[in-house]
Amino acid sequence: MQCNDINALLNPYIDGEMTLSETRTLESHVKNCRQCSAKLNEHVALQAAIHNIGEQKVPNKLRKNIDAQLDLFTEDSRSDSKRSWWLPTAIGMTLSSAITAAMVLLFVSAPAQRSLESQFINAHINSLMVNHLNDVVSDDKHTVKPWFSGKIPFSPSVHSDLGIKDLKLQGGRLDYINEKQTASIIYKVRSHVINVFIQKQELEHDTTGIEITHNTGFNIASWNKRGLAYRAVTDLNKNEIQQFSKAYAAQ
Amino acid sequence: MHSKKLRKRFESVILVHLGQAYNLAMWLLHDSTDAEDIVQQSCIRAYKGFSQFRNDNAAGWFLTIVRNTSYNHLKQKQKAQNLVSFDEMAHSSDESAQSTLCTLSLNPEQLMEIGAQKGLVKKSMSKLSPENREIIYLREIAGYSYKEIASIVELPIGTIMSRLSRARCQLRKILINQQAKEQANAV
Repeated sequence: MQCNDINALLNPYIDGEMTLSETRTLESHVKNCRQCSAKLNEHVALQAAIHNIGEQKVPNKLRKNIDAQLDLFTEDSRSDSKRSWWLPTAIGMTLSSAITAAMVLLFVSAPAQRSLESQFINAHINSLMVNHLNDVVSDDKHTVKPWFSGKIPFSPSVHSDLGIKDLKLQGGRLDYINEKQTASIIYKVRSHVINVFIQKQELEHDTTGIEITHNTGFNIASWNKRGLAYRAVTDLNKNEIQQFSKAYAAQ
Repeated sequence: MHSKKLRKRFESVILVHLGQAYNLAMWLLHDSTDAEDIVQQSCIRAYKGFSQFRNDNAAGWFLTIVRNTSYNHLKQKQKAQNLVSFDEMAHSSDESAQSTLCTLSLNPEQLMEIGAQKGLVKKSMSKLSPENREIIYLREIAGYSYKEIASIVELPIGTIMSRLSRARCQLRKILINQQAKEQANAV
């Protein structure tokens, strides 16, 4: 390499943006070339001088103004806390204990529902992270479904063909979520994984439709059918998971 | 109206980069009042769009909003045109991947002086165009890689490399002039 070539590489070199072989070539040239060595020192010194300027601290006033502005677009926390204490008490004084109990359930169920959703999301994430996606690997429902036999006290519904483009059954897995044995059926649509978590449902009533919720970047489709509760967790978009869940529930 | 949960997530994912957002706005606008207004506007824009945010590069997404809001502000104030034209005189119009070679160099004494004078470097940087100030800030002070800068300023990596090379070269020229001026004033 000529000095001009080296000169053009000094910037990516000091920025750590060169390959190992380019770095070696440059370093061996600079070692033996006084002119390029001086140039490199100059680059490094200038970089250090700029770096030395440092960052300015964010003014407290700015942070306060931002918080105040964001408050305008955020549900007000104070009114929520007032309602949760004052409203059930007032109702409890005037109505029967049954109605009070119903109100308590109303306030408690939403956070409980979110906590339950988080457990299914965590199970979905864990299945992707710890290389434990499947206990039984097969795209054949006649292999996956019998695998659960004797392992859990119910027979999960497993479908190979739901009529959805690019959808492939990957296999099955056993999980333990919310203190319940869970059959997890794994599908893939392109590179997106869908975990269908199936548990025994205590209240034996079928749901009329599919409920889709969104939590921390994941879509969760829920439905109950024939004494089993189904939850499909994925990062697929809402329309696709809805289509998948409808087809699954219809089988 | 966003939920409190989303607000908390916004604070932990986006507002942790408020320092860089403020510094980028300061380097682009060179006015603390303008920078505060722009960062505030950018935060609200980012918050409004946060429920749709699917990108894993939160800092890049936020800084792009700050950058675009800053440039719109500069355009409105008609400052950008003058500053950019100053810079355009100093470099060729070629924005290709080819690096610009800098022929001017600083001698060891000048280098030592520069290292000792934070104010001189800062003053010289303030004379660069907003484009050059931003690229030097993102690389040298905020420490982003070429790829990350390319994503923030929405340009190819080749353009980032040539722009950074040119910005450093331009800064070197200004430093030499600035040093000469200060020495002349001292005499």
